[in-house]
Amino acid sequence: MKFDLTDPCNQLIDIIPAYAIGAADDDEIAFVDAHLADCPEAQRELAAYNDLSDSLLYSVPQQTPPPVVLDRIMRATAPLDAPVRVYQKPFWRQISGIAAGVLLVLLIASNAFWVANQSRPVTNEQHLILNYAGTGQTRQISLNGDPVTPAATLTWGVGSAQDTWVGLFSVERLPALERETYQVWLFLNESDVISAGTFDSAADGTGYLIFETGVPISQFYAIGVTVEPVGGSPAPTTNPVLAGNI
Amino acid sequence: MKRIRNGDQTALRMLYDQYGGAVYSVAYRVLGDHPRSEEITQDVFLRVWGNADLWQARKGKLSSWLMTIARNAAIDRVRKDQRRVDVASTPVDDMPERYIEEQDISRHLWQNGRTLRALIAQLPPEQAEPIELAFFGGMTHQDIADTQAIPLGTVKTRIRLGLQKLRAMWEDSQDD
Repeated sequence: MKFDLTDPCNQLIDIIPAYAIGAADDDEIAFVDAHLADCPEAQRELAAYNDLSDSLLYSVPQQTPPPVVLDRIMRATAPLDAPVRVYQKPFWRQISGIAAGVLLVLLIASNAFWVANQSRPVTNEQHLILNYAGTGQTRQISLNGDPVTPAATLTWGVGSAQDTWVGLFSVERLPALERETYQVWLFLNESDVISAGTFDSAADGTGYLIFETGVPISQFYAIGVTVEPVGGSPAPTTNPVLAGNI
Repeated sequence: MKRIRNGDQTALRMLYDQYGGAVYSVAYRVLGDHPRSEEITQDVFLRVWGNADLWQARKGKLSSWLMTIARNAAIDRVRKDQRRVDVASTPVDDMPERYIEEQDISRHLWQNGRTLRALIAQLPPEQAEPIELAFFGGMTHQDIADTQAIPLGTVKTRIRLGLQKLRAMWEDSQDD
């Protein structure tokens, strides 16, 4: 576009309306930016059209976002104590390189033992299996979550086959998700994390996951729960909504 | 915003309670679907959480700043998805208002917005349409000329005349 440089202020007046709503092309934007400071009337025009532009934002039909949006934002910004410890004190730094290598091999070899689990209610029978089918080494820990997900426990013991370990992860007051699922992760260290499976939270906020591993669960440093697409993810894609040390 | 800058999650929630609907509404106006509008809304507030310093009170209203971020992010999303915004194909009147009365200190701004929407409807369609394509579709004069197969000069004239007329009607309505 050709600009009249003999009277740039007058020409600015014509461009300002489009400039204010973002319709100006690059050469027009450059022209306004170059001359606006010298043209008080154009500045007043721009202020008026900027006000109009602000009001245009409110001319849209008013909508209310679904509650899940706030839930996601709160989860993503929630202060979590446990993951900090996970990342500050990686488990692998506390053991020798050889031991870490052996453990990693065990982990890789144990992949075959991982059972894909789905959300399902835990029956009393399953509780009994978990608690008594092993060798009496059942242990339980409590996990701390953010204000949205305040209570969870992890119980585990040696399975009946003696070379498998069975874990029961249960949680209360975990909001049900509409289009996503919860995924449980076991952390060997900061970078080595393995999925224990996915589960959905019921309407009353309870959720369960039973899983097996060929490695003692106590070998893992931490456990975490993230929100993932239905079907789960190969690796965590969001910040944990719940986490704790094992 | 100072509290958000200091990592106060409660302050972020208050900000969301106040402006979440506005941000979502703008995103929905640009994108025309709820899943992507939810993502944009989430992104806007996470961006604010991570960069609260970007807002400067002397540069304008907080609500306008948030809604402008949402509008730009939504337009970027449309471009990323390689789909042109066809504002004309999603007439604003066909978008049902899905609004639940909530904590909202911006009620008068929404009322003004509805007035402005009615005034836009009074513009000739050949002026209203390019204004909406520019503002909610992120199109420049040249973009509109190309996509609508209209001479560039005609587009410029229509937008300028339309905005001048809209401003005059708007100022008259404010005086009433």
